[in-house]
Formats: sequence, C-alpha cells, structure tokens
Amino acid sequence: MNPAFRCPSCGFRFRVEEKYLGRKARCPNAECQQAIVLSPELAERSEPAKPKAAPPSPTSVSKTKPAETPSTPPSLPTRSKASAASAKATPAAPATRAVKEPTPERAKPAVRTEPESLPPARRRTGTAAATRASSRYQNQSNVSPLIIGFVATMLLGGVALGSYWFVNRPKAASEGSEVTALASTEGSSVATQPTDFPLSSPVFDGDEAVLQSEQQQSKQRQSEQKLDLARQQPGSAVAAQTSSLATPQLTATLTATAISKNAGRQQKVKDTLIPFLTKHCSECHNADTQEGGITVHDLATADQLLKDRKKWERVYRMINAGAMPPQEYDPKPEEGVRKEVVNLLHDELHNFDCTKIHHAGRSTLHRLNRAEYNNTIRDLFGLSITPADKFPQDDVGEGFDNIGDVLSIPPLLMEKYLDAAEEVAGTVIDTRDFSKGATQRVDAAQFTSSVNGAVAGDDGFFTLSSTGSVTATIEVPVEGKYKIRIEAAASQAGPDNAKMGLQIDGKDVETFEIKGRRRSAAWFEENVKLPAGSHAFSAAFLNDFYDEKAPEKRRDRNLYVRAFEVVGPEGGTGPNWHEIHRRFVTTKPAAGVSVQDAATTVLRPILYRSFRRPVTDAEVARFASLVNETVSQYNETYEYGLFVALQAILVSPDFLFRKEADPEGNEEERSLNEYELASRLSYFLWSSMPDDELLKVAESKRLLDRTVLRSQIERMLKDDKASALGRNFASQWLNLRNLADIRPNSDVFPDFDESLRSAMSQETEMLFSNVVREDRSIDDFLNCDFTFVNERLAKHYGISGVSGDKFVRVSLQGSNRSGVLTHASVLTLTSNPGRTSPVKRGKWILENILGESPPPPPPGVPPLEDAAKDVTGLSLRERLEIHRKDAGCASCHKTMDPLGMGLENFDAIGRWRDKEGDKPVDASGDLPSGEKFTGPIELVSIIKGRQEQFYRTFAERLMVYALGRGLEYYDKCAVDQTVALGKQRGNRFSALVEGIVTSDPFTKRSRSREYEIPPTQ
Amino acid sequence: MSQFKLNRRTLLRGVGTGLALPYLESMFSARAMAAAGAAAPVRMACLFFANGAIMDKWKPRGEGRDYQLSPTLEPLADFKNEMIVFGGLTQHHARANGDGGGDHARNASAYLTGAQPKKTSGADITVGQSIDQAIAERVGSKTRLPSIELGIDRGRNAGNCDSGYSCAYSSNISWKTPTTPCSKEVNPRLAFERLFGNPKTAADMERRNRNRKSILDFVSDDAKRIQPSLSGADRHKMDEYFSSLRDIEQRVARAEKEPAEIPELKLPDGVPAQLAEHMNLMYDILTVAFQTDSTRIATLMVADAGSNRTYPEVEVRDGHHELSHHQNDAHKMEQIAKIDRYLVERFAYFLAKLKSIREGESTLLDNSMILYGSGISDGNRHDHHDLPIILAGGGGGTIKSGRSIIHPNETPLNNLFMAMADRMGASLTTLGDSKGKLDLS
Repeated sequence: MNPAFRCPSCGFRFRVEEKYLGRKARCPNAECQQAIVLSPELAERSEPAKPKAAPPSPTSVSKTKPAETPSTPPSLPTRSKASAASAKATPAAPATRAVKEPTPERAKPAVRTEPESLPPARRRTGTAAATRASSRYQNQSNVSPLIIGFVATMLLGGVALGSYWFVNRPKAASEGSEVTALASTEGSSVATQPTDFPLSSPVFDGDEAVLQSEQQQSKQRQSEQKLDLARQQPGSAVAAQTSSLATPQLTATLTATAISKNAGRQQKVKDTLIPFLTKHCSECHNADTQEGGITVHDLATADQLLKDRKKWERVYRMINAGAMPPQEYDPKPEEGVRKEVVNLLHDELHNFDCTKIHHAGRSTLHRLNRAEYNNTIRDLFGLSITPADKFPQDDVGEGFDNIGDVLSIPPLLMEKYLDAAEEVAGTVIDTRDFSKGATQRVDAAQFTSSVNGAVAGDDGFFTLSSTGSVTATIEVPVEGKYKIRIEAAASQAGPDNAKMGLQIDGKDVETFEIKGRRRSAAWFEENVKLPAGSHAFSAAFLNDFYDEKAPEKRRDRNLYVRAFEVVGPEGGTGPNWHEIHRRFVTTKPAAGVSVQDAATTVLRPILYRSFRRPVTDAEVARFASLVNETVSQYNETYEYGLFVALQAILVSPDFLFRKEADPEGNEEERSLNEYELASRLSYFLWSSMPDDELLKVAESKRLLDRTVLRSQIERMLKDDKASALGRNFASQWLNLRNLADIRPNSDVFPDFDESLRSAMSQETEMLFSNVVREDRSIDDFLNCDFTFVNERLAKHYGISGVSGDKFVRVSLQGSNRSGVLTHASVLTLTSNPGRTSPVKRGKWILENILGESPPPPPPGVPPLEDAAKDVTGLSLRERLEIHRKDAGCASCHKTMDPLGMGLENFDAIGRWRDKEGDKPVDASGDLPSGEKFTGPIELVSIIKGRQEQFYRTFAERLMVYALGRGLEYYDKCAVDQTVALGKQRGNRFSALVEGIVTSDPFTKRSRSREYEIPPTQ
Repeated sequence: MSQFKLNRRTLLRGVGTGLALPYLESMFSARAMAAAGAAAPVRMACLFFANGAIMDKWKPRGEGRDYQLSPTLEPLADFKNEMIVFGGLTQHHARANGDGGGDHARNASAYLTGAQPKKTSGADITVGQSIDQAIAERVGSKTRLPSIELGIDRGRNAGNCDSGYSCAYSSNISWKTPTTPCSKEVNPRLAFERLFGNPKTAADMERRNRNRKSILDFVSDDAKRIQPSLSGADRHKMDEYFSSLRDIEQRVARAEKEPAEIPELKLPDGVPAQLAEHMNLMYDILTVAFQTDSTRIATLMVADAGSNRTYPEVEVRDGHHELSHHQNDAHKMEQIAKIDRYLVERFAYFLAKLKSIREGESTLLDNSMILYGSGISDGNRHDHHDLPIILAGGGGGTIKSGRSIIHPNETPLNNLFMAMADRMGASLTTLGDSKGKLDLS
C-alpha cells in the first residue's frame, strides 16, 4: 500500500507512490492545489503487517449487529443482509477508520464461494462465459478488456422524475408479433418488447421465409434461454405474458424462474458486488472521504443501481477500464472477480428488461440548422442560393450540429434570418415595377473591371489609368428601347481628348469624346434596343496617354467612371416577371378579386409547404392580410406585399422550428401524426423538407403503413438529396469536418495543399454515399476493397492510372488500404501538424468505431513534471511505453496506443511509409485481449472482428442524428431493435434506417425526457 | 437616403491590412459627444487568447510604475504608460472543481463569467452571464448596437469539444444569459455589415426598416400564439426566439431614429487566408465601431479555446495547443513564446489604432478599457491562477495606468470586471465569483 497524505490546507486525502516521497507536489484537489512536501514523516503509512484501516462499507455491516460496528472486523460483510436503514444507523467516519480491513485470507473464501450460491447455469467466471454466448448481451458482457458492451457514450439522463409506468402498453401482440419474432432471433431482450408500430400485412414481404425458419429456431433457443430471459425480466409475469412468443407453459416456467431469478440477482449483488466494493473501493469512496465525489458504501439492493445510474455508470466504466481500483491499491482484485463484477454491473445497467423500461423520450423543439435551412429553401422554391452560409456556426452537442437542445437563436441569428428572408423573398418575388419605365442604376462600387483599379477619392469615381474597361450588369425586363447613360469624366493630357467606348455584351456600340475635366463629370447617353434579360454594359478607356516630361497637369490621361443607368423601356411595359415569380404568383387582384383574395390563393400552397403541415383558413388569412396592409397602408404593389408576406413566412416560428405537439391531457406519450413523421423522416434522410410525394403520402394517412413507409425510405435513400447523409451525418460521425482546421507542417509536408484536403474529405463522403445509394452493408465502412480517388489522391496513395479531378472507383484488392480507417482523411485529422499521433488515432477508433469513449484520466495521474522525464532521442513508441508504465495512464492507453500504433505505416497526412526517417516503421501491436497484429490490414481485420460493437456504435450514432437528441439509457431498446433488423437484412444501410424510423423514439413523443424507473415487482 | 453628408466618402479608406483611419473628430463630436454631454463615453473590449502563455516571458519585472516590460510584452513599449499589467488574478471556476478534464473549454467559458460551466455536451449548457453582456444589458441601449462579438476561428464543428464539454463553451466567451452564448462573427465583411448595414441596400433603408417592423410584429404574434402549447425545454427555445425578436425590434427602432453612417472600408468577401490580415481587419472594425460610437462594448476571441492553429508567420509549424503541453521542452517553450509575442504585436496594432484617433483633448485609447488575457496562465499545467491579464486604456481618465500591479494570489479576475462596470456606468454589485472591486485609480 502506498503512503497516504492529507493536505494540510484543505484536508484532502491522497496517495502517492513511494518514489515520490520527499518531493514536492500540489494538492490534487483542484480547488486547493496547495504545494505540499511529501515528507515521509507526514505520510500515513500502512505496513503489510499492520493492515491499513479499512472502512467497512456501512452497508456491509450486519443489520443484526449494528452496535458492534466500530470495533468488529467486518468478517461478515459478504453474508450479511445489509439495508439502507443500517447504513444510516451506522456511524461513519473516524471510528470506522480504526476497523481492520479483512485480510486477503478472509476475503477470498467469501469471493470464491459466491458463484456456488447461484444456479450453475448462470455462473460466470471471467472469459469462460464467452463460450456460452446464447445471448448477444451475454456475449458482449464477456468483457475482454476491449469490449465495453452497451456503449459508454450513451449516457445517462439523470435521475428519473415523473411517474410513467406502463400507461401505454404496446398494442395487441398479434400486430407486433412479426417484429417480435424477428427481433427474438437475436436472442436479446427485445424479444419481449413487441413494438407498437402499427403494422399492415404482409409484413416483411420478401423476408417472410427467413422469418419462418428463424421463428422455429428461435423457439428452440427460447427454451434454452429461459433462464437468461428471466434474469432480464426479474419477477415479471406481466412481461412474459405480453410476449407473443411465450406459450402458456413457457410463461409459467418463466414466471417461476423469474421470481427466483430476481432473488438470485439480489443475492448476486450482495454476494459479489458489495463485498468487492467494500474491499477495494469504499476506503476512499465512503460518506466521509467521497473521493472524486463518488460514494459506493450505501449500496444495498440491485434496484439502486438503475436508480442512481449516472454514478454507477461511472463506477462501471472505471472498473471495466481497469482504471479503478488504482494499481497501487492493496489488495488487488482477482481478475476473475473483477470481471464478474464488471459483468454484473453491465447487466444491471444495460441489459434491463425492455418490456418494463419503456419510454419514447422527447426531442427538444428543433430549429433548422444551416444545412437544413439551405436545403429547405432549395426545395421550397427551386433556388440554388445558400443564404444560411452567412449564419453563425450551429452549436454542436452529442457530436452533431442538429441537436435541438443546443440549437439556440441568439440575436445575431435572428438578424441573419431577416436578411436571408429578404434575400430569398427578393429572389422569388419580382418586385420591380416597370409599368411606367424605370431607371436602374449601378454605382462604381459594384463595377467589375478588366484592369486593376479602384474606387478612389471622395467622389465615387472608378479610375481607369490605363487602357481597359469597367462593366456593370443590369437586367432589363422586356425587349424594348432603352436609354443607356454613363456618368464619366477624364483628366486630359497629350494632343487628344480622352475617348470612352460603350460596349454592350462585348460589342462596341458607340465612342464618346470626353471634353470635361475630372471635376466636371457629365452624362453620356445612347438609345438602344435590347432584348429582355441580363446585359453587360462596359465603358472602355480607349486612348491612354502618359508623358512624364509634360507639366504635371498635362502629364497623365485617365478615365473616371461613376455610374451606369439604364432607363426604360420606352413607353413602359406590363409586368414581365421572371419564371420563379410566375410559378408562385399564380393569381393577381382583378375585378371581383380583392388583394386579400388573390393573396389567399397564392399563399395557401406556400404556407402548406413552408410549415410542412396543413394550414387553417385563419392562418392563411392572417398572412394574406399582411399583403393587404402593405398595399393599402403604404401604397405598395401587390407583388411588393407578397414580398413582405413571404419574408414573414420565412422568419415565422412555424417555418424555422420543427414543432411537434405534446401528448394531450394526462397521456404520457403520443404517436406523432403523419406530417410530423414525414418531417422527421425527410430531415433525417435529406436534411430538408418533405417533398410533394411524401406530403401526399402523409396527407393520405398511409405513412404509418409499414410497407408504404419502407418504400418511402427506399425511394428517399436513392434520391440525390440523400447525399445529405454523407455531408451531415458521416462527416460528423467520423469527425471529417475537423479536417478543415488541420494545418500540416509545411516543412514536413510541402505537398499538402487545399486540393488534397478536399479530395480527402470527398473520398470518405463518397464511400459513405455509395453505401447509402447501393444499399450496401455497413461493414463496408470497416473494410471494403474499393474506394474513390481523383488524380491528386491517387498520386497520394501511389495508385496509378487515374487522371483528372473527377473521382473514380478503384479496387484496393491487394493494397495496404481497406476501409475508412485507412482513408487519408481520418489519418490526417487524427494527426498532429508535424507527426502522427497513435494516441489520437487509437482514441478515434475507440470512440467512433467501437463506441468506447475512454473515461477521463483518473485522479492521481502524476504531475506533469514527474512524467516529463528526459525523452529526447526516444522513438514515439518508446515514449508511449514509458507513459504506459504509469499504472494510472496504462489502464486506457494500453488499448488506445496499440490501436494507433497499428496505423503507423501511414504518416501524418495518410501516405504509406515503410520507414520513418531511416528507421523501419514498426506497426505491430498487442492488444490487452491477447490479439496481435503487425500492420494496418491485420489491425482492420481485428476490428472487423468487433462487428457487434461497431453495429451498435453505428446504430447509436445514426439514432442520435435521426432524433436530434442524445440517447438515454432507455433508448437501448430501440438500438437493440435496429441492430437486430440490420442483422436480419445483412446490415444493409436501409435496414438500419428502417429500424430507427420504426422505433418508438422516432415515432412517438413523451411528455418528458426523464423517466421514472418502475419498481421491481 | 442617409441625411448624413458628413465625410461620407472620406471616412475610412484602406486597402488590405493597411487601413488608414482618417481624422474623425468632427464626426465624433457630432455623435458621441452630443450623446454623452461634454465627456467622451468610455468603451470596453475584452480580448481572449488561447492556451495560456509562457509566464516567465510574459511577467514584467518589478511592481508599480517602475516595472520593466518582459520579452513577450515588449511590442507594447509604446503603450507602457497607458496600461496596467496584472499579476495574481485567478479565474477559479476555470478549474475542475470536481468536474475532471476540460480546462480549455472551462477557461473560455469562465473567462468573462467567473462561473463554473456545467459539464455537458448536450441538453443543458449553463455557465453565467458574462461581464460584457451584463454591462450591455444596462447601458447598451445608448448605442445602435448594445455590443458586438467577434472572433477569428470559425468554431469547431464536429466531435465533443473538450472532455465532455459542449463546443459552445470553447468557442464563446460572451454569454447573453447563463444558457445563451452570443455567437461571434468571424467574417470581417459580415461583422462590418452587422455594425453598419449593407452599403448596397442602404438606399432603401427606410422602406426596409418599415418592412422589418411589420414582419417582426407579425411573427411575434405568431410566436405568442404558439407559446402556450409548449412546455419544458420547448418553451425555453421559444423564449429565446422571443427575446432575440425583441432585441432586433429595438435595434430597428434605433436605426430608424438614427440611421447608420456607413464608413467606407474595403473588405474582402470571404475570410482572409492570412492570419495577420484577418486579425488586423477585425481590430480595424473594432476601432471603427468605437470611433463611430456604434457600440461601446465588444469581445474578440483571438483564437478559440484549445486552438491548435499553426503560426507559419513566425516559423511555428506545430499546433499551438500541442506545443502548449511543452513539458518544459526548451524548444517548444520558445515556439510558444513566439506565438505569445506575435499575438501581442497584433494587440499593439490595435492599441496604436485607438491611440491615433483623437477625441477632443484625448485619444480613443484614453477613453477605452481594453482587456487582453486568457483564462489559463501556464498552458502546460493548465493553471488558472496568476493569469496573464493586461488592461490598456485610461477608462476616460479614471484609471491610473503605467503600472504593474500584483494582487494577492486567488484574487478573482471578476473583481477587475466590477471596476470596469463602474466606469461603463453600469451599476453592478456582483458578477460570478467577484468579491469586491479592484482599485484602478
């Protein structure tokens, strides 16, 4: 046991390794950070012969002997019936410190005897359980150190509020039976959760045959699994009955088993978990010390684990990662016991019963983000402008920028909404009034110029100091006669006056001689006949002159141009609106048609599509009256009124937000209506509004029909608009957007340039889009034998035979690349500017592919000056090895670092390399699981072996994106369903989408996000 | 059309970074002096840099008036008598305080708030109101814009920004409310248009303001109708919508009363590729904003928290953040010191601009308070005490500048903010963890 110190300033207690004795350190309490001399005299030392005082967790103290607590060694803890009451009754604190810790000799038998107290079928010791993986969850919870089953990122909503419990049972089991059966083939707890997504028959048309045989198999498995099933639904006769699978006999068996199962579950917590915590954790994590704000001493029943999930999730992650108990802490847990505890915690926290814990959750009122805004404008009006590019960046939460919670509307954004609305409305509605002819003017600031020059001086002239021209582009509404006017002046030199040519669309029209001097600008006019449309009007300086010998005032001849005007057409014209205008402004006021009436006709379809739902007459009338007011009060045209009303539509909350109604009355949740669902679907798959077809399906109330829904999904994924998934989902899931901020060191990587950067992103997005469009297996992300490159990227990869900027599909067979892990994009964004970072790469794989965010560094990681030994001259691998010698670091880095080392054959911009400097690259590694590899391809295939984790991670990320909210623990059930459906259909992308789209979280909305866990029965 | 003929086209002119700011006294007296009586108004800007500094090279030698500038602060020699270099100030809530890693996100979000950000990457971002916004709330209505928020980095877009902290914490220092960060503008042209409007549409301003008023009225009714059907977080979102709506309504109303005079300033369309040009333009825009009294309150993030930007301008080709964990490696420390100094040079450019503008008997710098600093001191250790903090400018003659002041350790940085609030005319008794008020006179 390492010596402990107590901070003289704040009283914080901590341990240090022997080797730091005598040195100075800072108090690890972040609030204190007092400098402390670690003088050996001050250490609270514990000798092996004189075991350190151990605080028996109060819960471990026998209820029947509370009075003995202070002086009795807790020889009974593992057998005692602890209770919360006794926990409270037990005086904590100083007295307990005097209690001797159980010696290893005493503790061990308790641990060893524990498995025997359980039915043999459930005994699990360490990896032995791996061989008995009848349940996917069991399989996952066989914790090889790499695997942390239900993903740690899926955190944890807070202690439950509200009182939802089983108010809405799923619909009739017969309706849900197919799904149920399907899911059950995965043997997961989903089996007992019939989805209440309304189904029409036939269900799963093409897959029915598979379904049948799977169903038969599943029955067999079912009986094999009954113990495990029951364990997952402790004491739950109700749950068993609702399962359409449960035959009466089976139900009876289940019920009986379930009761004993729950008892067994409680027993296991008492026999395994509590003793473990007492022995290895509660010395530091008790009511008194509360290190890291965590206490474990008050655990008494299994039900507390889910109730206080947030805390226990942290405990689980730390123990699972091997980060706790600290390496130097004695006694060390036996590996088998540790794994057992990890399995137990995992099961309790993640493998809960989906029939009992059932909640749709709730997404926060979601405003359109930048991409969604641009796409919606595109689809609403057929415009290619992207006004949202000027909006501030959307805030990111849960790794995505479409999370309702964090999408705020600061005043800056509101201002930009107004600007954007004006821009869009101005593009859609043609407000120019040419009925009496008009003057269109362009000032010098908006000229384009063939030569260098600028607006200089305070009089707004553009100076042409050498031969060249300035051009203004002006659109005329209709063919007709126009007067072209140019305001110009000149400085004179040489024998001639300055000459200015007027050109229209590049053709010479007239030449003017300018007599005045600069101060006396004049208008030069020409009448021409022009066809309707945009024209380029140029003023050209034709006779530049410079004589340096001449007196200053006669030295330099320049032309100055201030403005162009186009006046006309002569005699005026009726309106001649552009095409977009004509498409939207379908009716005009006329005799018998008031402004209000006309506006109503025009606005109704626009409102329907803008709000993505049916609109009431009253709503339409309000917007129409805005047109009316503008016309009558401000004497504007009807078109101008529409221009104002359209702006109001585009800043109205109904357009900017995707609003979903709350459950009514006392209902705890409601099913979304067709329109709400259509919006969810289209913003998920297209980042845009529903198109006409989807709206039509919604209108006909057929969208809830699963066959119809499925065909819509397939249709939408094949549409070009589905490329939004690559741009918005994949680029954020894989962190590709960070690539834009990477600045490789130009000394080391002189070849890196912007075209390479954009090619890198494009490769990965194209692979993603290809999987979407061809509906391939998501396995292709991990290892596929082809990719997309253009000439620039092909050169980077050493692939020959590709030329041009266009991306082509190339085979990777026999090459040293395979899947996104070997894409230059990912390899670059996980590197430092000058070198690779195996740690970043390893972390990236863990987080994004395997779904295991490493926990933050545990407290007690040595101060940096201690870690900063002289490392010059050592290779990166050697430095990382030193780093891992520290037990505090090793717990996570022993997984992270080797994963990253496996990609060392790729340099910091993703080029293949056999040597680094003059040393050969060593890309081998040993994972804590015992797996070894010698290079990227082998690493990829090891990761491929972790498919289960990858499918879950992918399904979870996709679901966060689809829902626009972080996942809560209860969403696990929907993830199960999605992964199961994926497997059923070869992990095709569309299957995962369908799994999500048909899940409760996607199709329903709860009153509150929080969820009260129902009591165990 | 604007009725302001005054120096319409001569106001500001410049090409690229070498923006020439002409003598603007006449304009100044026309506006700000009239508004504030005889005395020129006090302006404040809070600037933030990332990753702390090499403190050995930052800290000046000596205390009081006779201090000597450090190597990093040497570019500020011209302003030595117009600034205070502080020691001993702490931003306590940038520390973990039990929340684990994430010092960078915390250092930015606590910098001007003095509040502990809630560790979350999703639902419930919460920190505290920042000093600039607290002051703007009280005195911001005196100018066309209550405040302006600028930055250089676009803000990270993907992934979890820092050990479980939302990106909102790393990319904002200005918080309108504890839950609403003020997005910053990084594009110089858009920042300029925010201050002065778009010159292209200026002619139609009257009609435009009229339209906007009726549109805002209209949708505000809409929002009111929706409001009762919402609950929980949804209602909060709609409140946000409302409050922004009101903000813009007020701005439109002020713009109607007092149309913006648009200075002429050549600006690139996009964000300049060269860092120096980008930063100088942002400093130019701040100067113009203060000079024309368009706003008196500003923030600028020289880089987002934890920035890993490279600085090829000074031969630093490794990432800033990466280098900041220098582990006492002399070469890395030297690189960091180069970055520190480079950024101080840009800051000096700003001060020179402010000093070049005369306001009656004084200069714009005399009438400003420019805070320059970070919520991290030693970037290697992520310390949040003894922060690198400079306050430049005379606060309208109320600050005794030209000093190095070392406060007792753990003095809250917010105590300095309280002293600044006084000078802005904002009655503020406390903000964040402030305990009293620094004496600057």
